[in-house]
Amino acid sequence: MTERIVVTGLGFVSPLGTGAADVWKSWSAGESGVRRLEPGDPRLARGVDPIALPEVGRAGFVRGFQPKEHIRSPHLRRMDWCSRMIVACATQAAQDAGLSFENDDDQKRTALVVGSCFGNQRETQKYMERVLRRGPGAGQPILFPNLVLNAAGGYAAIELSIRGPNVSASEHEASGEIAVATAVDLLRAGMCDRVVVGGADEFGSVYLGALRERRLLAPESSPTPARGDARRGQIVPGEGAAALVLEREDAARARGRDPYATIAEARSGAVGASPYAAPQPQAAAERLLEMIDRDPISAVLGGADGSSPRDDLDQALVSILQSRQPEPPRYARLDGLVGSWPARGAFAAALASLALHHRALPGTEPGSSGPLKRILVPGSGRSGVLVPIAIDMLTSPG
Amino acid sequence: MERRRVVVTGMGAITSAGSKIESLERALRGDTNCFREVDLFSTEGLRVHIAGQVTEIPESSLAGTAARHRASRSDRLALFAVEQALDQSRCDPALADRSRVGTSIGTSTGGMLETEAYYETRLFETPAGRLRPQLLSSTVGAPTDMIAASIGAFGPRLGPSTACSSSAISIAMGMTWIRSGAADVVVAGGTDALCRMTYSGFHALQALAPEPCRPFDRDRQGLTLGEGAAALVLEEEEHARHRGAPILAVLRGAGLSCDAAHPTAPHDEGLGASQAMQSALSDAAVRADEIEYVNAHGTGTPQNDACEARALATVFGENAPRLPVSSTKGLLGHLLGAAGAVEAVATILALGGGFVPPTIGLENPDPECTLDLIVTTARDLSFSLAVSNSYGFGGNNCSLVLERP
Repeated sequence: MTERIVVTGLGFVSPLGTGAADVWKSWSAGESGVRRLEPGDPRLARGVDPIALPEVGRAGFVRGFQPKEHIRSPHLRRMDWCSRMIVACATQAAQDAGLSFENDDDQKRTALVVGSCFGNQRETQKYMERVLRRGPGAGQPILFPNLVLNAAGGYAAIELSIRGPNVSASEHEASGEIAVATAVDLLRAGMCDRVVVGGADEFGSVYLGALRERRLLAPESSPTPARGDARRGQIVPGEGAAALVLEREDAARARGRDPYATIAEARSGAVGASPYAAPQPQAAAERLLEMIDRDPISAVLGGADGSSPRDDLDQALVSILQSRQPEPPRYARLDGLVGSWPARGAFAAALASLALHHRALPGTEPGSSGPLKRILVPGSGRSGVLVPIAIDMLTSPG
Repeated sequence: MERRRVVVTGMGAITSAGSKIESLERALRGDTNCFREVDLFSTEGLRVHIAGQVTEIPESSLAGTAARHRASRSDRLALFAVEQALDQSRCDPALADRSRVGTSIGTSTGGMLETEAYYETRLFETPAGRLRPQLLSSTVGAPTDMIAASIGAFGPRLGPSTACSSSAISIAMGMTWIRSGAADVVVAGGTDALCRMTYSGFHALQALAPEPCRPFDRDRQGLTLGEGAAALVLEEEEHARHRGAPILAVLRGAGLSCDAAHPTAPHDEGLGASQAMQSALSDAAVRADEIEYVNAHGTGTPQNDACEARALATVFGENAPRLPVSSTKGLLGHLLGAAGAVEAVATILALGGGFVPPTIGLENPDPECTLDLIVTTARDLSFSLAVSNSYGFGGNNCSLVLERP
């Protein structure tokens, strides 16, 4: 039997707060992290977020994040916002898991995986606008190394001295879930003994522009709606990051850790779809459930974001589960809580682990009160990619 | 239980040497580089104007009209490389169990060339122009999605982006899926198109050589950029034999590591690089003294080549001075996210063809790089086991061990 993979550490930089305790407090109190930045907001203070955010209205802005409280590295001043979020989360998760990476073997046998759809959007825009205005000789050597997707993973490895496999990946709206699936692949392949895995995305013109021009942006999230017709949309953009430490259960227990939960399944696959198009919701829901075992799912932490394909996929999933399980699943969506960003799946997986640990899933509709044993995070994205993550409550050592 | 073995049953490559694998093999046996003046965008005001730019990208039949309209240059390069690889493998994913066909295409910048056009529109058009259809292909996960959706692969999927080791890691991850039983076939590889961001960025870092690059030369001054794509059909050995597929190589093992030292510079002693090689050898159950050729990362920057030489000395010890080593970047340039896949293909061509490709531009080997450096002409050599190295920004390293079947 394959050894269970468990979650032993969590880290958050999110609109619900920074750190697992803050996030749980806000979530269980029913608070929303969606807001508008007002003048005087610490988020706008110099050093907290070095680039202004004129394009964002009401959105899921991260809250309570002071990078210096989490990051010791002298590289901090060079780090972009996306990297800062990931490094801080990874540091929190490692501390939460009781990992210090002081010896050579721990450093080499730990992997780091980061999922992000866009990575460092704002510095990429800043860099390119300068080059486009002034010519190719105007490239800034200080910014350029930050523009690769794996900049965040590199900074996190330096911060924590993690020298094992280091993988960054992008998979549209499933960028967070694909990171978790990759972490599980690395563990199962024996390429490492533990993984710090995270996902992050920040606001940037490519993401916001794409939403605005496709008329998907919620009206209050667009202070300057394109052609005045952005009101058709429902998507509230967000930003944030989360990280989890995954390891084999025996190793965790040998270290005296009491895991949050176990990852029963995390794998990538797909259903038919045209390149860059969303899959048909019913077919995607059926395939998502085919990809995991048939143990009852007690809750779905959905990927709905206000767009038809993703909302309909959640609805189809719940409907199938209602028809095939004696106990209907609870359902919670995150867009009203934190907004939407493409790598939100890592945040959802971390939240699910937290919920299972606390044996409660805040924000679910009344009436669905069956025992909480398994939470499904149904990762899905363009071109038909599907990444289900099934997270189980730990009842006894496996 | 015996581990499932992974073999390579098809390869495709489109580079500045040409759009076919045969043109790449000819170039690898030749003695001239494939660089030209860049005309994809302006290089005015820079001190460097050359790159390994692809002259023509033939249209692939894998993608439909709508998909081709959305495809970035990186996507189109990848599509053509994958089409060649599937042809050689005689593999039609549509006829296979699609849920057991995986896709992993690494890239460093994906559709950045098209994203730059979007930024340009935002900056200079009033009112800002409509979103370009290619913007959907702007992310670095897009080439994997384009390939997987075009060939109908419903198995595991990953778009790794670890700078210049992206496609070596895509091959390594494909190997893990086959070994674990998650897939029987994986289309793995990498793609990167030239774009203003990388050209101006490496120029700003003063990493571009003013003349064609000269890896491992004592007078080397930097790298020369290139573009292209390469794809490999990885397959579980029994699955391949059962359907009578050609077996071009065995992917014996892979090793991944991170320097965890500096955002851009390699570790001075090549610590992460040697760790990746040692992991790969251990994974492959191969001793260092069994390796007969190393296709080096060998960018041509003073620091990279010196650190890699130190790492090779650490891993291969007293055999290092006799170990044939070359870098194909002197021929094609540095293909960034596609480099690992192109160089894996080059290594397999060398294993199959009984030759070691030269390091074009290398005339005066750096005395600090005490290796058997293959200079400007190919060397006839029948060999069985090789290592291909890839390193990237962020300290991301990956080594592959390849064997002649």
